[in-house]
Amino acid sequence: MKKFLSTFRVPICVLFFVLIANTGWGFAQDTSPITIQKGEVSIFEVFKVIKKQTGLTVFYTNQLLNDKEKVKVDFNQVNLSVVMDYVLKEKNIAWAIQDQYIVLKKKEQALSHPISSDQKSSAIKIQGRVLDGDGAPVGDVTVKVKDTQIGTITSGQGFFTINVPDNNAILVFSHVGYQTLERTVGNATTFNITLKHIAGSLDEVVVIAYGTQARKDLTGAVSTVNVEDMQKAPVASYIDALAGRVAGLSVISNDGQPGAGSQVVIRGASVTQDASPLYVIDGFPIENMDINSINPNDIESIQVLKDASSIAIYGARGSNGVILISTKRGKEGPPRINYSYSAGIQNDVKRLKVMSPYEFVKLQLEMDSLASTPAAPVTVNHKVYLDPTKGVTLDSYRNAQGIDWQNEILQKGMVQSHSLNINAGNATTRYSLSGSYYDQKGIIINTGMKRYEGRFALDQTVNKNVRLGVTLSYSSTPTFGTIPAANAIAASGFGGGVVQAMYQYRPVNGVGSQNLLSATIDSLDLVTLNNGTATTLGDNLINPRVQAENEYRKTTYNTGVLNAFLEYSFFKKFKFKISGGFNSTTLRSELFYNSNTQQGNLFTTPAGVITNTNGINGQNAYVYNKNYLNEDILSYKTNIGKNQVIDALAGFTYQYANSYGDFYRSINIPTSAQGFGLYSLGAGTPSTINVNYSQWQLYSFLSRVNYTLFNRYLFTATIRSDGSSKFAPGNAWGYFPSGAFAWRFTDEPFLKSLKNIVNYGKFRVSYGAVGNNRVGDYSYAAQFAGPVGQFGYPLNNVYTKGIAPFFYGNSDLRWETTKQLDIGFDLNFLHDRISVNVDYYHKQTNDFLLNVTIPALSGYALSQGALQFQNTGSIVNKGFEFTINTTNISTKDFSWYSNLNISFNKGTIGSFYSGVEAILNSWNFAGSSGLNNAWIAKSGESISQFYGYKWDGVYQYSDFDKLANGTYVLKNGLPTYSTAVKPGDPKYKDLNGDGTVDINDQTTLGSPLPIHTGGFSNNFTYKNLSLNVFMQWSYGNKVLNGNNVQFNTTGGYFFNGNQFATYADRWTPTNPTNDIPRAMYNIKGDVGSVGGQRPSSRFIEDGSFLRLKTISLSYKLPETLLKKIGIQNISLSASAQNILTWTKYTGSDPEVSTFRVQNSAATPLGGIPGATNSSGAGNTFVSSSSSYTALVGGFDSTAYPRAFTLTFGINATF
Amino acid sequence: MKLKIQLLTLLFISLTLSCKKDLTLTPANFYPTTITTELQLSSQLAAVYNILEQDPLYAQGLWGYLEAGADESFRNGVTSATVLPELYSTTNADNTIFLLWRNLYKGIEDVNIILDDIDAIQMDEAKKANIKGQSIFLRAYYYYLLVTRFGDVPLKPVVSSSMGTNFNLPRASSKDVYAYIISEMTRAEGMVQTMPQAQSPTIVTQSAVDAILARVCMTMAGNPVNDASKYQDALKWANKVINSGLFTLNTTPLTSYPNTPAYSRVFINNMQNNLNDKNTTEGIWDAAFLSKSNTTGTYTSTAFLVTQQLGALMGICDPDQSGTAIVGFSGGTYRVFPKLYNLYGSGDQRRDWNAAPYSYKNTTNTQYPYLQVIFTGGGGSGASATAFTSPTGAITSIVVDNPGTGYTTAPTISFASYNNSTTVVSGVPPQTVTTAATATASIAGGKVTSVTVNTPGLGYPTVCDRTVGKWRREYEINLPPQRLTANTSCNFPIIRYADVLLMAAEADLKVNGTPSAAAVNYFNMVRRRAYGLPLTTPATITGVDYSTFTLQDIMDERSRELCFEGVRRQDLIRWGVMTTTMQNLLNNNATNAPSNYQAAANAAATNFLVYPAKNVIFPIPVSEIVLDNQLTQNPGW
Repeated sequence: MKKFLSTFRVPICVLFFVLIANTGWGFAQDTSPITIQKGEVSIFEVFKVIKKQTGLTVFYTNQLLNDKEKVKVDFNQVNLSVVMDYVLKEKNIAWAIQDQYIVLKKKEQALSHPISSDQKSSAIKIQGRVLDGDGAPVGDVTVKVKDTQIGTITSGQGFFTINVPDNNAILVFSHVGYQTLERTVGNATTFNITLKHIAGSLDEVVVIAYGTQARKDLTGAVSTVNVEDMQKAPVASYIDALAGRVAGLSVISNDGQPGAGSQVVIRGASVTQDASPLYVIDGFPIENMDINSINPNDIESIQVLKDASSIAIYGARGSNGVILISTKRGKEGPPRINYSYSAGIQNDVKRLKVMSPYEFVKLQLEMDSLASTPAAPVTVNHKVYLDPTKGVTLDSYRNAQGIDWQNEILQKGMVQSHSLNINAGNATTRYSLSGSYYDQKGIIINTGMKRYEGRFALDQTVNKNVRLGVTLSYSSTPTFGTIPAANAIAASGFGGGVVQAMYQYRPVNGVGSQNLLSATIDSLDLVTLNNGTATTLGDNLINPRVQAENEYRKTTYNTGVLNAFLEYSFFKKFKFKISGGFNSTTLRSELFYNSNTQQGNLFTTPAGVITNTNGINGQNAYVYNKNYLNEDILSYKTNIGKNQVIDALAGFTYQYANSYGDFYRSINIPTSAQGFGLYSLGAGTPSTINVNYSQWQLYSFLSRVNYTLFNRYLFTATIRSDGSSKFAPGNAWGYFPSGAFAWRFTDEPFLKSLKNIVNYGKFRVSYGAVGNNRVGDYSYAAQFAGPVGQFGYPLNNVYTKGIAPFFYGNSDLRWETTKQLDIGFDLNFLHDRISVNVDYYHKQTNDFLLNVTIPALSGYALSQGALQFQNTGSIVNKGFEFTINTTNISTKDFSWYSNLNISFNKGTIGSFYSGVEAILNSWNFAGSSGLNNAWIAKSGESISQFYGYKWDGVYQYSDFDKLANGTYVLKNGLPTYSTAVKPGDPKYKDLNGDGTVDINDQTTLGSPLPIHTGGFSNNFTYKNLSLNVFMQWSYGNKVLNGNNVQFNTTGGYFFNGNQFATYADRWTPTNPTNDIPRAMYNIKGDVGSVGGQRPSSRFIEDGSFLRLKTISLSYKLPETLLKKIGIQNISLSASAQNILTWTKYTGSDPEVSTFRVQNSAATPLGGIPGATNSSGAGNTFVSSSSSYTALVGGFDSTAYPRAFTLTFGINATF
Repeated sequence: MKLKIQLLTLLFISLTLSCKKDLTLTPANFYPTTITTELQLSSQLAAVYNILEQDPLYAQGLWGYLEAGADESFRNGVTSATVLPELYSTTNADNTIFLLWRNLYKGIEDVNIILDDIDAIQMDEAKKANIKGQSIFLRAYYYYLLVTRFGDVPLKPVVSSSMGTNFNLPRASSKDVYAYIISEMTRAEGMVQTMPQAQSPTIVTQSAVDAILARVCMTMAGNPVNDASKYQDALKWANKVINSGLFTLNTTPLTSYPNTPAYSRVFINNMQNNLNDKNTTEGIWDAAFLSKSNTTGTYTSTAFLVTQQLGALMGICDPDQSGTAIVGFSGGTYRVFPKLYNLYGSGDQRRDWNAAPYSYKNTTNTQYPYLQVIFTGGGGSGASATAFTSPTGAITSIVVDNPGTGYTTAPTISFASYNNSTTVVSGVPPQTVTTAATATASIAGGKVTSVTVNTPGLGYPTVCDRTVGKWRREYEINLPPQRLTANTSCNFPIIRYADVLLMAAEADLKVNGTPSAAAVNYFNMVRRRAYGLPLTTPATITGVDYSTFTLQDIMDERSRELCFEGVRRQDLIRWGVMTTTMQNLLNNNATNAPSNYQAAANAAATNFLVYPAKNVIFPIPVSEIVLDNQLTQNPGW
């Protein structure tokens, strides 16, 4: 019974008969009284009269009731209930009104007798209805009068009638899975009760792959996200609120860019280029989804499938874990309209201080002396900043008010959202219609995001055998504005961004007349360009505010989904479900750089050269991705005898996707046309044109059997076979079996005595294999270059267009396979007041897929090297997850619930097949040619560690011998990296003791991956007030503070550039600090080094943090008040996000990852827009969530600052 | 239950059946690497040739940053700390060296693919043989470039797709690599077209194969393989070219430029992509670039694939960087060593062609001589002379090149000078003459017999101010609408007839101990043309013809004739004189190079001498060693 009712929430079973628990409730009074003349008629005749007089059709089956039976009647203006009760007297049949029907149903023995026994003696008749937090009716709720035996249960519609002895009676409403509620009767005779759901309760129905299951029957490790709590966070995308909510799920957003992607990893990543999980939205598997496409308020449930048993049925695509998202569908009941609105502000949280005008000018003057030689003194900066004739000295800058560029770039952000939902249904038809609008103005000027979204779901029961459903949704999410962290994309051709510029741009103009605030370009930089010391306008020479205002970037994702299913039930035990889906995602990416941007400037040197050879330029990329799905699933459920249950399914699925991409770029657009922005592209010179097409398909067969013995031994066996076009014939098919066993030991008779302490206990174990197919559509195939002609040759002045192989495929390529063992315990104590889940897992991934660089002698090298997808090695992820839910206090007025989860994961690389010892990844900085290795993934160690030199302080005078000519020579035996080191230069440890510091002294410097992460959520309610407080932490992870590499290192990293305030404390002869090296002139690395700064432990910081992430307070207006104006419910709320962070990290935020490795398989049009189409790997997905590998996390370079958000909202239900 | 079992059985059957299905989807935007048509074949061959015009090869590397570190020219502005392979200051991680390696192996694989598929393609057999021959030759030539620069290198004559995922190839010994090259080139020799068929030195012809075979044999005969028996083979191949009668040295200038020396004709042809002259008389094999408009029409967007930096990086100084420049920009990066300059005798026309006597200094095409001796008055005309300067810019001597006629009194001597040693900004000519020089001419019989320096002066331009003038942008034709600032479409002469003559002479000397009459004749032909004299008649000017010659004479003559053509460093290495040459260069610079040029002029030699054994060979790129654990590193790297 309970099980059945629960399925209301997830319409998976056919409900032909509506289940009624009790007869006769107040609703019947509303119908017109019935009159039947005296006589003996068949029950059928009575029902005909009722239909005639009330319009209500009585609905029943002949098995339930013999309607030919005669009854004696004589009714005159009698209530329907009297008639019905009379007719059905002693038939053990209950009835209820469902819209235009009176539905008959067999009474449940157990419930009707003991509870209703006292009713007749009661004095006051109370009626009412019980709804859940979403306004849906809750059936099966036990309604009891406290301290008596009087009680009833609610109907499927949530209605109840009860007779209570007096006004002082207290009604107690209870239902497993809901918080118990008490109400004193008082003078009221009608009650509208709202019960709050307790997340994670045992009878809660959990969506699993291809079906649903009660939590207590699960054999695998499936975590349910507390969606209600999550929705309290004022964020644009559900992903932003997921971190810390579920044990084993790690979510790290790249930075604070509106609409930016996140790294979502379940139970530790493989080395594979894409570690993001498989998303299954309303049954539709999408490997890379646009996470912004769903309004968080539309989400009904999110489940995270973690162990092999739960995910094996997704076979070849499951090894990164699966996130199942179900959106809201119609529920039975009268139409309910819910409208919510929220609006709020965003602010940057922590600014990084740059040097004051005084310190800045002091540094610039120091630069002069550093550049000087006795023969050629340099006084450039002295002339710029000082003017002794007018009395302008260094000291004049002590009180100077410099330009605070962070103030110029950062603004108060704003968010607002509207959502409207209509939800209604009866026994046969249910629908939900919703629409929403979200608008975010980012905290960097001219950046932001919007979302327009609509969704419609319809469920229709056609007859007792056939049921169908349709889901339609469409969303459009434009994000726009500059992307400051884009400089971290290798080869993007973008030298820096406005965040870098807001630290770098100089705060004072000096004695010149330029107005730095309004000028497009700093005159000092023009000087360096014009005198030939700079060959390009690199390194952010454009006024950052002008840049941010003028840079036009707009990326719009449009996602349309059409899902439909038809379910046919037959022979009682079989169901056949055919579903089909179509998902279309389009991406339009527009860029336009006018002459006031770094990328489109037209500055000319005196030699007549515009150094920016592209001039004003723009581009447009359009990717159209279509994804089709067909699934045919036959399921079977039966009881064998009393003690065995078999629940099995088998099916076939086919998925096909293709992707069209168009790209064009136009350069040297005339100035006269640039006012048209993107629409001036036609006026320029066509530069790059790419047209792309790619496709893949996947055939799958799947089967799962759940077998339950004695209601406590649970077995699951699953197998899926996948055949994919992404692998060469012969390797196309993969098989993924798994098995699981669970033992509900508290149901053992011999453990009955435990029940008062441990009322529920389950032991789970599962083992199985799943695959990973994240490679390009044609990665197995060797290919010739795309555009014919690129590699041609003029033979006798006749140009012969050339072709050339550029991508070396690997026909042996096969699935990456993960074998996972999971052992878990689920325990509930003290009548569910405390529930604990503990899981240990061991995941061994073999054949991990990597785009490996092979020797150039293979002959397949383009600029990115010779690449070949290979099954490269093995890795083990081991971990431990712990979740505890507690009901700390639950009284009539006050309750307090907590959820705490913590996860530990450790990934270790087993081996690389090719005998390589390590994979190195290098950092890349704007304005630097240095590509120094900063990450290592080493065999036998963690999959990602920072890599570099051990910082050993600063060379001091005491380390040197002073020669007669005044120069300093390093003392004998002191290790160094250059003979040119001077006092004040950085010192690194000579780890191998060979006397020189070189690449052999690099070592591992800690991992960006945390030791443990977790979340702690608390819900408090006091009367109509409720408060949610959510905290999240990460412990043991390191962050590479990339900003320090540029702004706390040489002082002269950028010509004329400012540095962080901490740099004022650099080493100088009078300030022999050991922390920050001396200033150097026009050097981006250490002395004597070619290619930029050395990665060292100085830049590695502890990134552990504890964050007060969400606080949400809401107040529900008293119902008595609202009733008068016809509103069911209004609540007011205030929510704050990202409130406080406790961390030792000195950068702006320790949760950061600005380094993107472009997953060549996932980048539209074969690489960075603007590049020629040469990767050729093929792709059929567009995604903002992709392009993450676990190898290069924890990099903080010019990140978009993370905002604090405060919103106020109203939610009304009509 | 029964039903369930049936169901599962059904499922199982379908599972096993399913595996037979071919799921492959045809890609839309690339071809599989299987060549099936003639068109694909010629496209693939174009890709093999394309390697020649890549930056580390003839677009710059093999005459510039990889190979220029010898005693002919130096890169202005560098110091010994500048990191460049040509300065011997780089590391085993040098990217340009890696790119050379990568491009060569790419070309090799491109050929492997052709040879893997070509036999199955239905087409004209002669055409097929020609394509096959060119492919085989080019692959062997790329191995030649590899073995000469890197020493022992992996031989990979099979397609990569047959190698799975294991690319751990060991190095093959140089001897084996040479044996492979010679046998492959010999195989190709009979398959390719002849020059009369091809009518262009941009296509590999039988003569190109023969000439390169001569070069390969010369190299193998010398250091480090030292297989002296190969001199005989070299002589054979060189003689095959000579005896074919298809080639001769140009003795007349191009008709459009009657005032240029005959010697320059090849290089003007290079700059003009042979549009005025097919260049088939002296040219044997050129790396081709293209001078078509790249913004419209057929060749749109092919710009940087087919241009290079001859004329710009190595060319006559011109500050005009604009797209409409009359002459075309050159920073005059490569400068001539006094050592080379002083090798030329008076009257050798090659000197002032190879070491540009003038530069441009603004946006016009007015030529500004570095240092010109001007004869005024005296009643005569036509006298010209060369002034030689000391490192301080003092005029030390003046040699009369042309005595002129009709002088009745001694003409007045004055000097025009223009110094290019600092960055040139339009309209601001740097002028560093601090003390003016004076000189007096002596006449006899209406001719200027000598010029005597009275006051040497100070601050006059020196040889080091002169840029390499071999390829001059002023001859560029058929330009794109917007000139490329730093790129030209100049062809590069990989091998030309003069080289073959000198190789024949050298091989003859090595084989016979003393040169045969034929060899002396080859040697003298090169010299006579240089002085503008007829090739076959004994020279009328003394000092031009040699009665016999030594190896040192060959060494000097090759430098005079072939300087900057990317052969000098390899010559010095095979002769085993790299170390002594670099030492001599330092000594020579000490006397002849101005102090402000010393750093740049000495950078390569200084660095080289730190570790000569290491520096005569490139490192195996370290990134390659990381990926192929069978590779070993060259000594010192």
